[in-house]
Amino acid sequence: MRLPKFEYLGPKTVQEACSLLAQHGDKAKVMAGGTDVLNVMKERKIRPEYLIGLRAISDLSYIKADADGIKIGALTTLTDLANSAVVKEKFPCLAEVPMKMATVQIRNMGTIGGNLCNAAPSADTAPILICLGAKAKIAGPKGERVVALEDFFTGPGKTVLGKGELLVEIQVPNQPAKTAGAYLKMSRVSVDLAIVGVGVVVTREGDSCKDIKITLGAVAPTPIRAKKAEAVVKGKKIDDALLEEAGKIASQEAKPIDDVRGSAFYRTEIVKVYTKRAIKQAMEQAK
Amino acid sequence: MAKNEIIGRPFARVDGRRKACGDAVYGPDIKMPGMLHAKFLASPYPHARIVHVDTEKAEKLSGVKTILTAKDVPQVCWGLMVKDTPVLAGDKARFMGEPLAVVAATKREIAEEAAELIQVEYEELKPVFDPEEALGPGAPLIHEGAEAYACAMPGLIRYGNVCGQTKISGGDPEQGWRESDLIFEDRFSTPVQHHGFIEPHAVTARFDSNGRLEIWTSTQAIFAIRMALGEIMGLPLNRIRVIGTEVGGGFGGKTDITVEHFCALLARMTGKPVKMQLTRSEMMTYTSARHGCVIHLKTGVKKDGKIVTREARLLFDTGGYAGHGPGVAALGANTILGPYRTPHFKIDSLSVYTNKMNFSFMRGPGGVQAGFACESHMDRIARELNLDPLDFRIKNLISDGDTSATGQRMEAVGIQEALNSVAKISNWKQRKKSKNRGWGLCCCQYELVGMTSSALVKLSEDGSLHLVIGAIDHGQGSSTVLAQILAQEMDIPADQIAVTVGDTDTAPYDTGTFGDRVTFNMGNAVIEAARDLKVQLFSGAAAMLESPAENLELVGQMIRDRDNPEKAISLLELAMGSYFFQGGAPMGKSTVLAPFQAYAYEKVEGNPYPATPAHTYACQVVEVSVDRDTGMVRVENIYSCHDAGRMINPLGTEGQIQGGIMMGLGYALWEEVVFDGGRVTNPNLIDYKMPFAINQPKIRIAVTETKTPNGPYGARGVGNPPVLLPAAAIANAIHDAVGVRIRELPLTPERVLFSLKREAANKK
Ligand SMILES: Cc1cc2nc3c(=O)[nH]c(=O)nc-3n(C[C@H](O)[C@H](O)[C@H](O)COP(=O)(O)OP(=O)(O)OC[C@H]3O[C@@H](n4cnc5c(N)ncnc54)[C@H](O)[C@@H]3O)c2cc1C
Repeated sequence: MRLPKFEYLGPKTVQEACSLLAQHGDKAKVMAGGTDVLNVMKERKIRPEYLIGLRAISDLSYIKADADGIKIGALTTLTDLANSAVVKEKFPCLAEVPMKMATVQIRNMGTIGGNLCNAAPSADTAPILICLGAKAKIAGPKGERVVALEDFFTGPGKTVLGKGELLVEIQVPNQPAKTAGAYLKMSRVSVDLAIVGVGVVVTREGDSCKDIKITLGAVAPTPIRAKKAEAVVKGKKIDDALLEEAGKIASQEAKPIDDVRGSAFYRTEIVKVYTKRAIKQAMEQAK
Repeated sequence: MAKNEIIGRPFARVDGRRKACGDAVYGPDIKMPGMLHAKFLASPYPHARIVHVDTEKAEKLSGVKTILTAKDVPQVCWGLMVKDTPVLAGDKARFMGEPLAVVAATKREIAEEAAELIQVEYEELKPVFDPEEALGPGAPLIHEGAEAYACAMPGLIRYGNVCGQTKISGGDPEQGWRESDLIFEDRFSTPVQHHGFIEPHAVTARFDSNGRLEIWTSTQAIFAIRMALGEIMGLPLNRIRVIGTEVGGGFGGKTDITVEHFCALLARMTGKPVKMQLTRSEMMTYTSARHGCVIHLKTGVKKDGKIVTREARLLFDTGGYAGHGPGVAALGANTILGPYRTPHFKIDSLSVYTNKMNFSFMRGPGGVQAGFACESHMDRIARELNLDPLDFRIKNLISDGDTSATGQRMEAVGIQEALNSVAKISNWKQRKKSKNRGWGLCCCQYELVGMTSSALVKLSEDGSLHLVIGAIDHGQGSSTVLAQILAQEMDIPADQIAVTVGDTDTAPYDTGTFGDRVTFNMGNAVIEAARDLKVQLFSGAAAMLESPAENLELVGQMIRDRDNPEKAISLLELAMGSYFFQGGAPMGKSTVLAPFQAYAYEKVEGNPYPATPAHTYACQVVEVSVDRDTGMVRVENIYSCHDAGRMINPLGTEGQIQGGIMMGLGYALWEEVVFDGGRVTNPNLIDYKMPFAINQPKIRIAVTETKTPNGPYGARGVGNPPVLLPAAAIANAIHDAVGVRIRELPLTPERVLFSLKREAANKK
């Protein structure tokens, strides 16, 4: 399939991009790496008149550490995220995620901002970022605002981004000591979208779990926190029975559907198993 | 140079460099000045009457040159077996994705847009998607008036929605049931598999100023394409030139016409070259794929594990048109007993119309489905008899002198040796069983296709040799093997031989590249052509050397007198002499049909194919581990042994085996074209899952050589059996690992987990 006709606009600054977006409204679509958006255009699912490419905006691709944590520019590629020394050091569980995604070529093109703004329920970067308490910095015609990533998604393909708004940065706060995470992804072959993704971040205290966040991907219209399962584990000494219980509760929180990748039945089962395994793995890492 | 130096030696592919360097020309690479682009409009309904087609709006689009609908094209029905396929669907559409109209425009985008502007009024008809249902009494008839269709192949059994049926029987099954101590019954079902080649179907056609059709296409069978085009276009075959481009994978999916006729008709209409290249989703909804199949098996055995009798029923879902379906059903019937002695049997194999796309050839057709069923069933019987799966098979294995289901006397049966060898390399008898790990075994006996091949060997003025053939090398390495064979015969280094795969104008006839037939049949043809050339060279040299021709031999590019070696002449001198002074350009030619034994037609009914000239054998051991909680299967090790008859190029042989195993692995674990009614829900390679390089397990290969009497140097094909093996081997290994028998492919984690849960629930 060929791309339908469109006009390409290449703003040089965030402000310019926002005003073009505001000006063209529904007729325009933002493109970062294009690995999602060009495909849906080829399939004629969307036909924007204008494609606003972000490539020419030089200061949107960065990973910076500061006193609060790290800041990741929206245009940072998945490859750069995986290779970043500071991410590997501070949040190894985040650095591992891109390696579970797509192919080398796609990772070289695809961006973290694109993955989040595309808002697929299966977006692989979302669960662990949500568990880490990441925030999304949004720029728009009226200036900037920051929202918790957990509140960023509103439905499949939908986010809180309003007219003329762009995601410009992801902020990941520093974590308490003895904190670690794990992201487990169930897919069919190595290059595939998630059937289920489970992200867990725990803070450990002795053999107990002092704090925990669990986020499930691909089992609801958006990535969701499994808060009831978190409550089961939080503050408790971890043993197999408890993990079993947490998995069961998490699977009840999931609201999966049947699709070509997997059935709701299977997704529920995998949430059960992967929640258990992810907590175990994270606890292990947090020693 | 000693004989046999070239045969059996690893030899780098003759097409390797040009492919690696990017100068090979594939179907999509063809471009011509003034070329138009074509696109078809596909039916959005699986079964619908076409009430009215309105092209007016589409025609007005700037850049559109012509639009053809059913009324504008030749009113012929074509087909490889049953002539049931109209050029464009006219009165009704029989599957979702069936072309109703074709557009030629100056740009592909315009053609696409125009196709969308064509307005069609449909009246939906009751569809049928399940082959079992299609056989039922009230099932909608997909082809009314099918009786009137002509058949390209003789003896087809057809009725209702059945477009082909092969029945084979032997012994006395009734007596067999009485003699059996135990009877086992199973039902298996297999999915539709997409060929998954990288290069899409791409065709460019033009008419020259003499009204001659030239067509470039990525195909496995140039002469088959020419034949079908002649019939559709109403042209004598000598007015059609089919030029096969380099093929980026075929696997059976490029043996037949797909859009060649559309391009030819549009080129005739517009007077311009016309190109059409399919998208992945068109390939996955319009062109062929592997038949889905339902197989019932019932086998009676003695307590000691001797097979007494078997009844088999195979239902191949062939989709809206017959395609090769009747032949695929016949191949399934011929494979369903496996390489096992079965005194009594009754086999019934049907090719059934449904409202889906037309399924046809795919690597190991019929055999892949039957192989999964037969070998899973065998494994179950072994387990329930408490016999080692290897011992159970050995007990029943056929050997030379046995009779096949089809009544052929078996010779060069290679399965025993292959099985011994695979048991050895896998250390089967000492295999270690650990928790959730298991081992599976699988054997295969399949058939290769005979039919005509011919070859031309030209001696150039400088004594160099040129092989011209019409057999496409679609990547399996045939041109390399044929160069080796010619080199062997002419005692010349193989890299000095040039191989040209000609077109239908320049090459002598060949039936096509499929069914493991090229090395076997074209190999024989090359040997014959080389011998023909040598006769001519010896007779020319005899005069020059004043030696009797019988005394001459060809050694190291010299022809010399065996008794008087100083009497010698080089090929160069001889060629020069004959070209310029003796009025002859030596040219060896051949046309061969390998000898074969006819099937016993009193036992075999409805098989449309000529009998096979040789069987192929292979077996495999697989070790898997299963994650009980997720159902995820990991293939840890594959040991595969294949009988090559005689290995000509070990590199190519191993490449074929590895590639085939990966295709079989995909079929076993992931691949399935999913239908929701008549709609394919995963017509792209994101949702349709093929294995990646990283998914390749450790594969150890052994090759045995049980010489086939009628093959070149004893060789037989090795390309199909590798695909037949993994599904059953893995399913059997899963059973060994976690105790569940899964009778439905693919063996996805979901299916495995579901089976484990069901098993656990049953135990409670
Ligand atoms: C073969 C293949 C495999 C894949 N595998 C995976 C996988 O394993 N896991 C996974 O999660 N994804 C996968 N994807 C999807 C995709 O590659 C990723 O989601 C990628 O991160 C998208 O980034 P991008 O920069 O290419 O996004 P784009 O396609 O450029 O954009 C995606 C969407 O986000 C919007 N957008 C992009 N940037 C911004 C911004 N800064 N502000 C506002 N809106 C913005 C665009 O308008 C568009 O709607 C795969 C895709 C392919 C083709």
